[in-house]
Amino acid sequence: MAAALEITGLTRRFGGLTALDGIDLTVEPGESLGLIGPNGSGKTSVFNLLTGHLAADAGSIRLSGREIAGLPSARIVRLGVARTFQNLRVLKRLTVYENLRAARHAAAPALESLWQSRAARRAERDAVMALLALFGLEDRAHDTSDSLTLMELRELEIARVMAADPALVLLDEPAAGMTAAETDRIGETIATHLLPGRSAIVIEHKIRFLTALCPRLAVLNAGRKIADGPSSAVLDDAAVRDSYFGSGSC
Amino acid sequence: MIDVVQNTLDGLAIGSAYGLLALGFTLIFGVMRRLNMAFGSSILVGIFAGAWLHGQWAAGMIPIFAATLAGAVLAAAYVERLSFAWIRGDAALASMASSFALWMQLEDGIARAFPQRSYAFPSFDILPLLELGPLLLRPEFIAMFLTAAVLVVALHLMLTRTVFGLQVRTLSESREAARVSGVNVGRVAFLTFCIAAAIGGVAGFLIAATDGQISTKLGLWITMKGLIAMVISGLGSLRGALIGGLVLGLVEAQAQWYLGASGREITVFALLFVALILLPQGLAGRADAAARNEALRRL
Amino acid sequence: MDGFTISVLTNIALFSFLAISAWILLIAGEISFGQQAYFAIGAYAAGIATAVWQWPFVAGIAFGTGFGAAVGALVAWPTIRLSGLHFAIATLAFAELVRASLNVFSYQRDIDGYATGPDGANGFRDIRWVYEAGIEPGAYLVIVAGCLAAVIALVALMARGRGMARLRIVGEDPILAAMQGLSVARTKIAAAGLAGGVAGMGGALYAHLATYIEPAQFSVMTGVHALAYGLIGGLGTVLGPILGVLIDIGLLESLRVFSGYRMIVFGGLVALVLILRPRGLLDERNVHRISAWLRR
Repeated sequence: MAAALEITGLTRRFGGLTALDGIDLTVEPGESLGLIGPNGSGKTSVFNLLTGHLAADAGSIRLSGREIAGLPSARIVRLGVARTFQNLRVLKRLTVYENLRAARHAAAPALESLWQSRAARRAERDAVMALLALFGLEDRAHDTSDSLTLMELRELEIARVMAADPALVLLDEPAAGMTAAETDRIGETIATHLLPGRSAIVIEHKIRFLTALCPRLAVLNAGRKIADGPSSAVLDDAAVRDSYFGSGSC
Repeated sequence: MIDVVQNTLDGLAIGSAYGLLALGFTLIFGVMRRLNMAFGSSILVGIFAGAWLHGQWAAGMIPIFAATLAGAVLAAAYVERLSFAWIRGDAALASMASSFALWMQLEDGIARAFPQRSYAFPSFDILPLLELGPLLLRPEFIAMFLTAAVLVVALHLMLTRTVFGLQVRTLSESREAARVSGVNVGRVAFLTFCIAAAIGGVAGFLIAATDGQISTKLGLWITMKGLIAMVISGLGSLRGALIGGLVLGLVEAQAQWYLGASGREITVFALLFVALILLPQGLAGRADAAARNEALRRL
Repeated sequence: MDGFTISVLTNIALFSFLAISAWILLIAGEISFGQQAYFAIGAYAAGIATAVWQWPFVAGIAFGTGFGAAVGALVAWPTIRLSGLHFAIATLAFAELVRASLNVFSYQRDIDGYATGPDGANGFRDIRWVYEAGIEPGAYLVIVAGCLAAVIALVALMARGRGMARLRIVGEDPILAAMQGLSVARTKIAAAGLAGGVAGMGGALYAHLATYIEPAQFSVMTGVHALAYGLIGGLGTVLGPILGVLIDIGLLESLRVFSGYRMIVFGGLVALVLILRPRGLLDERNVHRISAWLRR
């Protein structure tokens, strides 16, 4: 069986700067991989290339054996990839409900632009409300999302990923800016609702949070992968300690 | 062949005026990242102030020039407050719509105060026509070209050599960065606006003095020419704005000669349309614009 | 109703087509200075259809609408990927290109002994179908209002279905839209086609009311006004652009209280509204509030 995700030799340059330099990464079906590295080491670039937001200069990206490098974002996403954003991306002027519904627009037939049957509307509403109930956000369904707290916004992003029901989940610093208690809560939500049955890559600076979710870690530094393996082994690696913890960035 | 050369000269001459207008647009757009639709009407206020002085007291060139500049800057300050300073930072659309509304307001106000079809503006008729062999050149145009060149150099020096210039450049890179590094964003934006209006006033004065008469129709004309020249140049470079103006002038002059007035219009707009599609970063395109376009193209 | 009221109402309805057209693109996140081009295209196409080809009225209006939509989508196809300001200028360039081309576009045929059809800058006279059919201004107002109601109903349907949501997402955050699997370019091209069709329909109806059209009527000013109506009225609902038209044409132009000072008052009013409500009077927040209140 093909790996859920297989990246080989992924390279991307910005002008004279090589942001990613021949990265290889593999995620097995159902596996969660933690991705760490100092700021600017290329973690988010991996996500941007993976989702087709930026084009790769070289290398291949295979999703369940299928080459996706060079496809437009919308196509890639419809093959079963969903992501969250480090600096949160929600539709501020739309309600929470509409934000979640957004994840379902692409998969729906074009004709539903004009006419969505009563049954389909009800089914969609039930699904979205059930999802909101998981996060205790039912009461906020019809509030515009610019009124949400940071915690609620993070939860909304995760709910949105779940609404798209992807095979591969990409989480970009899901616990950034949160207190210890909030970090624990969001970690638990991710572990119980989002990760089961899906493959995932999680970027996070909070190592304890990350190792609780991901049994395996990969480390990037200056656009290269410098370590990859079981979390405990990677964290003991001298090179990793030197490049990452030595820099004092955590 | 002589025709082509003569057209080129004429085109470069009027192109310098377009370049000056584009300079003002570019300065405002570069700093605010928003379009000032009322730019042409601020200039209109200026030249009508000049025409009024001329009609009232038959004042000399220098007071009229001063009145033109003052009128343009005052009108621009009014626009800056209402349409830019008092509208939230993320509402670029609102600024554009608001400045358009003020355009209408200013233009209609002028049309009300000056009900005739056109008004006399003092022209430099003391200057003789220059003859270069078979070629003819109006000295006003040389003045325009030189003014444009001098202003570009002066602006460049101001932007690169002065503290204020550094603040303007920081602001044009990022509003947030400017605020964090202690730039008084509101003040710098306001002054930039006034400088742009002054440049526009100079351009308006030269254009009006070349024609010897003005009408309220000039507002739309100024806006169109300035906008087009700015876009041809690729937004955001001052030298580019001047080049954009010259290119526009050249194309217009040649097309006018060979294809007539309607041919000129069709050619200019068709070229603009095609140029935007094929060369969206403009003639003097910058790498960051190319990168931004890459991101857009992939969606 | 007296003749004046009828003509004001008809004017409001006709301008609403143009305002809604610009509004649709605003929702999809694009500024167009050039929707008057599709108004012109619709007017000319429908006029040629009924006056030169002698088609029936309904077929002519349908032709104008369809032609506007087709050109709208076709023009959007290469331009929609440009960044915001470049797209806006491209629409301006296209609209002026259309106007300049109509200035030299001549296509006349002999109908009942008269040369009929567009004749460049001299305009296009005798689009007489409505006149010859003996349709009174009041009856024509009903036709125009009916067409406008159909457009509003279409947008309402899209708001019930997924259409408006798709447009809004693409307009608010194209990157996020792509990450939700929506094709941004395709969605925007569809919006441009719809906008072109709406403007085309308005133009077609206008041509048959005016019986005479000329390129100069479709100037940049017309288009920029249409854009401003949506921004003043509000981006939250399709009634926003209509509110904008009502304020300008209905209130200021027709009430004559402000006679002569209409633009001065209107301009100041718009500037003030936009300081307080940058997305117009009926913006998303107000629409949300009103609909929550109605649900109770």
